[in-house]
Amino acid sequence: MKTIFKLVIIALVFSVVTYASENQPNKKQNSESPVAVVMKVVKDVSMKKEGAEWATAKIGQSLKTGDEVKTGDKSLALIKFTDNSLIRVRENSSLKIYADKVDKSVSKNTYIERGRVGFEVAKQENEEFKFTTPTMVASIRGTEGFFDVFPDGGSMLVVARGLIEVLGTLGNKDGGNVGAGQYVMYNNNGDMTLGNATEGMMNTQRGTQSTNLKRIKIQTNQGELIIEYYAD
Amino acid sequence: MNLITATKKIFSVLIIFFFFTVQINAQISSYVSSVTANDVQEGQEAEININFFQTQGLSRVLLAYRVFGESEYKETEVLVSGVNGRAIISGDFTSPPFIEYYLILDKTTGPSETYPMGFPYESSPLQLKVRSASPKDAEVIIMSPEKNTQVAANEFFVSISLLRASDEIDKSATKIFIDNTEITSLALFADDLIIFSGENFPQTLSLGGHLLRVELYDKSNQLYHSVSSRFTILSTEQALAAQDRINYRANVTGESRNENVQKKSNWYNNITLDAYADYKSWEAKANIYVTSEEKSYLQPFNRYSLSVRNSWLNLDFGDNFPQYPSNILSGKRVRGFNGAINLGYINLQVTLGEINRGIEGELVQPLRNDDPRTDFNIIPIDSTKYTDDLGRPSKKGIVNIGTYTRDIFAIRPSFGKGENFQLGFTYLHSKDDPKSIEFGIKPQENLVLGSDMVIAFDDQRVMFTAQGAFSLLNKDIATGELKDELIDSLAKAIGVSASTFRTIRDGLGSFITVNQFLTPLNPQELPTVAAEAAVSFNYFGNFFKAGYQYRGNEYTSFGQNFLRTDIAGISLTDRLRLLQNKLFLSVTYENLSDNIQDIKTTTTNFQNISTSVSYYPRVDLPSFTLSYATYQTKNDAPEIVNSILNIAYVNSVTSRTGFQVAYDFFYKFRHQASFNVSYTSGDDKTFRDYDITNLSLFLVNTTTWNDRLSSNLNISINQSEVAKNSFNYTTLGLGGKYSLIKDKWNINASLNPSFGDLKRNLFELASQYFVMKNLNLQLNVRFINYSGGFNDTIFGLTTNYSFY
Repeated sequence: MKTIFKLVIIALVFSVVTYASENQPNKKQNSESPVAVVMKVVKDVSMKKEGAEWATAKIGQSLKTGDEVKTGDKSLALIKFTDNSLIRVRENSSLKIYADKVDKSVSKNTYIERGRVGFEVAKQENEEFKFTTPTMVASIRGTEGFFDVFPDGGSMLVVARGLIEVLGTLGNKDGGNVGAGQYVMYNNNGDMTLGNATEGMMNTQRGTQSTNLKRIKIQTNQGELIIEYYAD
Repeated sequence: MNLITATKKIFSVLIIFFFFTVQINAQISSYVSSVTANDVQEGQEAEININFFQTQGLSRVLLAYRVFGESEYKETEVLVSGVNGRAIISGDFTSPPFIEYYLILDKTTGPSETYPMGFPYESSPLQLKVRSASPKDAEVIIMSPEKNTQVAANEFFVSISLLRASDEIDKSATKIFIDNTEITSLALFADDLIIFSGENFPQTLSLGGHLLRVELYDKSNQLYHSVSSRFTILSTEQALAAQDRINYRANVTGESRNENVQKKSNWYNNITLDAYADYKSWEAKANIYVTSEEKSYLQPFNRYSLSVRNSWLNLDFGDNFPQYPSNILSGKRVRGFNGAINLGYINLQVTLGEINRGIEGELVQPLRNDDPRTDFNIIPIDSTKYTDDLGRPSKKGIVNIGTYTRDIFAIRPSFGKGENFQLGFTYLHSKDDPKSIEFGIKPQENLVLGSDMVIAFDDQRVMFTAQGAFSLLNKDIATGELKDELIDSLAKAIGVSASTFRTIRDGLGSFITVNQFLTPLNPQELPTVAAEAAVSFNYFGNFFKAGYQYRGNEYTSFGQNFLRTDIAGISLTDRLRLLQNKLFLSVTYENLSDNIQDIKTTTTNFQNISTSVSYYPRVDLPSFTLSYATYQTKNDAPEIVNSILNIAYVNSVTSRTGFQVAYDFFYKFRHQASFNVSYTSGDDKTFRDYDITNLSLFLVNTTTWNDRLSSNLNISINQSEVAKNSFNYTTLGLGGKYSLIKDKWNINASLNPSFGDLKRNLFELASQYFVMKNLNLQLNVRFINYSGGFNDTIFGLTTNYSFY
């Protein structure tokens, strides 16, 4: 038995040392590398490259650090990062992407200025995926949920799967972990409320995943009028 | 191509190239001819195919398997059809370096046997190699279109991320193909990202299925890895409609087969329907398997199932295999209903159905009432219906004993999603229906109560799991509850208050029949308790797990028949992934002992150690796995070696060393070569001297000549010695696969002659013809010529039709 325990200890030490040596940061940084792609655009979606003007976003456009995206009424944008993490920018929302690429990892920080953003974040090994709102910072490893940033600056996070570490940016700067089926809310004074998500919140979460387009056809004298819209 | 040319090609191909199968023929069995299993990749479903010499006399066949590092075998049913059997191991359980497995053959008469025979004392389990998911696969992320998805034509574009690509890769040399047409020059390369817009495609992509292929090249411009992904292009109208419509697909397979085995000819006919449908977040699956082997005097061969599920609800009807904590209900076929509501904070699973079909016995001979015989198969019979040889009413008779209908009910409320925490409680009740048949003995009843828990931290990198269960078994409920008069006399005899006795009977009697056949009689010794706990840590590429298990000698759950009881001890597992998932080291140590209730004269200790090293290089070099395992079994009987007087003494050590090397290389054509060698040595240190040795070598090379023709050549050498009786043979294999008409007519054939102590020639032929894209016919022929001059032949025709 003792021999086995010794072997296990040696193995643990060996793996830690090997792991550490394999993961020495190779300081190859490139802020000009694209880090995400616009996957889907519904109705009114705009994009602003750093130092440029707002322009209509198109499917397949790449995004670099500092780029911004905003959506209008009844609009939607799907953005996928190069690690396959996906965010859904719902109507009347705006966000800015920050990313630092170091070797084979990209540390991402998405600043949500307003609106609702759903996320499905791929498992992060040696990377960070952060979301920042005016009132909180959330560190994500591999999970699903959505953020709401209210017009008064307060914000809410609902977690559908996984565990997210949050920290307030105002007031007492309270922090903690938000698990699956929970929500956390920070008002514009930085007061934090943590609780179990209501059925309404979970329905909203399911709604953020929906990207269904609906179509209405109206036959007119001049021909067929087709109206496309997406349904929550 | 005309028919004559095609026919000539068939014969040429038959003569020159033959189809490849990996055969494991180490042990000698009167039922199992061979077991075939192709290596699988981590997380993929594994298929085990069994060829039987005969299946007459077998009531059921199970495959028992365990993942490396697990001490417990799980069971799954082998679907037997004539002399062929097939079992599937779910991808949830295929993890490297290998899975160990064996077959349990339940006979209609007599005890069960295993394949390899004598497992676990006289033979080692078979191994199925599990390759680690190629680390190269993770180097290419196909962001769009996602694998096996449908995309609207106006939204189609390709985006590929090489974020995780190795430093050995020249990203700018990456090539992209759609349906074998290279589109690299039309794609935009931006550091890690490659984007291709559908609008740039020189020819409009047609609606329907397409294949995207990405080839990575290293800095010396050698092909490093290739990744493929299928997708379907829909018109904008179709894409919009697809979101709201019911999607469905179904597959119908009919087979008619004749088997002429050991001079007995049998026809088998069966039909299988698999159907799938989804609508928004709902999905439904149906499976029907109807076979001519279904007989009222056997347990069911036919299978019917319907499942409906979404993210929080799961309803299964028909034949289903509910999963509860493994000590209570796992791997058991239940014909009835299984349903689960998973809300996260609170979840509920309920199962209700039948696990044994009632099969009527047979009255062989009514006996005279004064007949003195008391054999086990002499039971009371209805004297108003049967008369003895003198024509008088007969109260007892000799019968062939039938099987009672056995019903099961299980319910498990649980709290928590299980990602970080879950606490569950299980109640299982199962009972034979004494009225289901006329000629049966000792109907039984079983009650199991259990709880289980999962606690996990840090994204499940630290995990604690535990489960415990307590069982009650009544071995004969035919006489019903204990009568008051019997309680009075029993209470008097053992000096306990009769009223206390009645209270216990009445209270417990609401759950299970209480009489003198109920066990445990002495619950203080925990003979009917099963419990286990494990803690695991997964950090720095190192997975470590330590577990403890305890199973009393009388623990019984009708939902889990193959649990090893009367065993307690620890197990430790450590798996390391090093060099960016190129090198894998694994070690497992297990120390178990029986006789935990101290009811045997000796206690046997089992110490098992398994180790393995696997290396999967990223460049085009061979991969290899080296494994070593030792299984020591020893009891505490006096060590009087070489004395026939000491029959209780057990002391044996079995060691097994294996080496596998595989190499995919290109020399004029693409080749896949592998070499496996395994040596097993069992040293029985008692007077029995039941030593075993087995050496098996297997070498195969598969060559892909072009996209229509591949061939293989293999040799297998097997040398066994069991208790000084040797059995040696060599099998050659020559096989090939040829597409006579591309995408229309394929043919596979193989010839496997065996020499030495096993003299036989096995010839197999399969020809598949696609009448339409979704309709194909397949002819299968199997011919076995044995040295004694007799032959077995199997031929069958299969039709498969898919609609969607």
